[in-house]
Amino acid sequence: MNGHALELGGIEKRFGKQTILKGIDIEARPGEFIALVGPSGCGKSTLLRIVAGLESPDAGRIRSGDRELGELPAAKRDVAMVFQSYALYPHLTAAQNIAVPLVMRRLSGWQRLPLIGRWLTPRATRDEIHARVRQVAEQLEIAHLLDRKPAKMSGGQRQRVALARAMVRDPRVFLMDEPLSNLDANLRVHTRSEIVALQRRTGVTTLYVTHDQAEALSMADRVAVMIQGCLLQLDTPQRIYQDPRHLEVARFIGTPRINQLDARVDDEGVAWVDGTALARCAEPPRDRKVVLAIRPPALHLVAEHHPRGLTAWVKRCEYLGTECLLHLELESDATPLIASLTPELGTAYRPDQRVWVAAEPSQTLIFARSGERLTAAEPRLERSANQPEKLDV
Amino acid sequence: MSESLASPSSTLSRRLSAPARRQARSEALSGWILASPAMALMAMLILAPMLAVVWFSLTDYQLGYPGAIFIGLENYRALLDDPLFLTSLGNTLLYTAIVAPLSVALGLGAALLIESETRGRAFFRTVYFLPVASLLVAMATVWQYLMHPQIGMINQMLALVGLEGRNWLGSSDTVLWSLAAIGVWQSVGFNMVLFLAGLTAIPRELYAAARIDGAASAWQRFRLVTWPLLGPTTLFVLVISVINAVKVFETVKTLTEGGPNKASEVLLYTIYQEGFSYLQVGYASAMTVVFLAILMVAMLIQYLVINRRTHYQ
Repeated sequence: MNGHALELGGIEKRFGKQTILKGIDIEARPGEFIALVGPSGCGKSTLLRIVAGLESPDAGRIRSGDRELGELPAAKRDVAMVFQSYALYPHLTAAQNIAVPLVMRRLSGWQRLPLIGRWLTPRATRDEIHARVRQVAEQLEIAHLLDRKPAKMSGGQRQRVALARAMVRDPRVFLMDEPLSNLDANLRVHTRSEIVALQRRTGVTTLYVTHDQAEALSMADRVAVMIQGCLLQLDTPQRIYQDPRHLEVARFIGTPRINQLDARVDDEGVAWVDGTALARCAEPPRDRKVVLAIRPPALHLVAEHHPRGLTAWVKRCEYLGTECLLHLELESDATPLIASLTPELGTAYRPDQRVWVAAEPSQTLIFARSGERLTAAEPRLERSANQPEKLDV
Repeated sequence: MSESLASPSSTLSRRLSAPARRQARSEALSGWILASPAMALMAMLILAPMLAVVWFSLTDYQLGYPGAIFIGLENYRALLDDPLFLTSLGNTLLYTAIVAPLSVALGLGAALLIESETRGRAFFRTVYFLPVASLLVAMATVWQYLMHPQIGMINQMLALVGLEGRNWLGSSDTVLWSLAAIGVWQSVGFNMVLFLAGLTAIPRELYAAARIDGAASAWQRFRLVTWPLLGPTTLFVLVISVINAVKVFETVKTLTEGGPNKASEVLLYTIYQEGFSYLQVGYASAMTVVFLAILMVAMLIQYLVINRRTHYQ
């Protein structure tokens, strides 16, 4: 079973005067798993519905392999979708629900009639559908639920039936619209890996919409970050986290949220915060204002006279078992910062304690005020300075 | 050891249970007291009249004449031999068989059309509902004019396309069908409103799922989603329509008075005539009991079928 490439080009969508999607381009390789992630209202679900054929775009094209999908109605696109609400037919049993995509495609209107339809359908066709439903149900371990109606199932079981209905025929594309968000936390983590395993096994190209960055990063081959109708970055999870191309991406991905410092850039390209040089950009922006972004684990506590040290006050210490989040406030302008420390290190600090923090220039991301990422230059200012010392307690 | 432990606790429970029992009793008493006005009204206004009708039906009671003799099931036996009652029963059943399915089907159709329409939804809803809100007795005069053999608009329009008009309300061939048409006109709006309520309860995502699952046409989606999910609503609407159709009276009383030649004689009108024109209360009561029995059977069927089908969500 081979997947088909999926290609979205210049997808635009407006509702009234509001532009929901501003020219989205995504190219998925055959069998690739792409997560669309973004805050609510960013247009990711609309994009999914456009690919499904439930909404029509104002511009753009959709190709799957060698087939244009854009002009086809939803029923002819050969895509499968799992809805957030699962959208199971409440009057049908699990088996009948799973069989619907096969029945709708293989049987005529007469053959779908109740009672006499059974008599008009060739036995072989019926057996085939039955066998396929059973096979998919066994793959998803829901064979024992086949006679039950959705009302008699738990949320997790309904979710599996919805997955089975999507898998029962081999679609060109899987579309999943927050399929895990109605499950409780434990089941969600467990089902994540199951969905990934199923997707790998079937090799069907998948678009997966979620607002949960942990889901996106852990499941997908590549993550597409969408903010306000724009696709800001489409990259592997590692690069999305470590090398965000836009400030919004950096802000959206990663918990706790990335630290941001407003800095001024001099003619040399050196970015200054409160009289301290923290980084250097290759091409200083015209307005000389940048935002420096530092991931909480990259922010270290240093000794008082560190060359890149910033003075801050401890506000709160959040103990989380595997790490300890130190909430800080910059002394100069009360910018809030978070440092992620090991529990042993973090618990030693008390509120209203004065500390010094610094980050490696290589770990300091520079963004223009408009949000674009700026290239960092070799930090000349560092030559004479010592490496940052980690404060031992 | 265990006995000495158990005895104080059991005396304690006995000591506690007496006041608890007293409190439960006083709670039950105040419950009865609070419910009694409603129960008294119910007995007076609903149960007593029904029992009175059943009792009258077993007597030869005539309004204005003193005394009534118990004659057992004699009235019911007479009903079986009464050609007027049998005609009336037959007409009522035919009328119901026309009006109920048609008004359900048209009500569903109107609801589906309005639901799929984005603009002017409130306008169409109001227009279709107008006949329900209007007084049927008053509207009957309009219908009388429309169906008039000479000056009626229906016949005039038929003449325009070269068809011969008929005496809609004056001929025994057409009168029941004409009354049925008015009945349908009157009840479609009400059924439509009930169907609209049922339609809004169907989750939108089911239609999206149906489209992706291969239900390409609106008809396929109707069969896969709308019709089964409207099942309980449809049953309810059907029973209400049957009950309303069996109760047809105003149009008959105002337009045809059962004629011509008893062709539009219906149950309620026959009961009315027996009871209030001929003052045969006992006989009319027997007819009323039969009438009530028909309504009860309709409601019982609905109750049984709804109970058999489990609720979906």
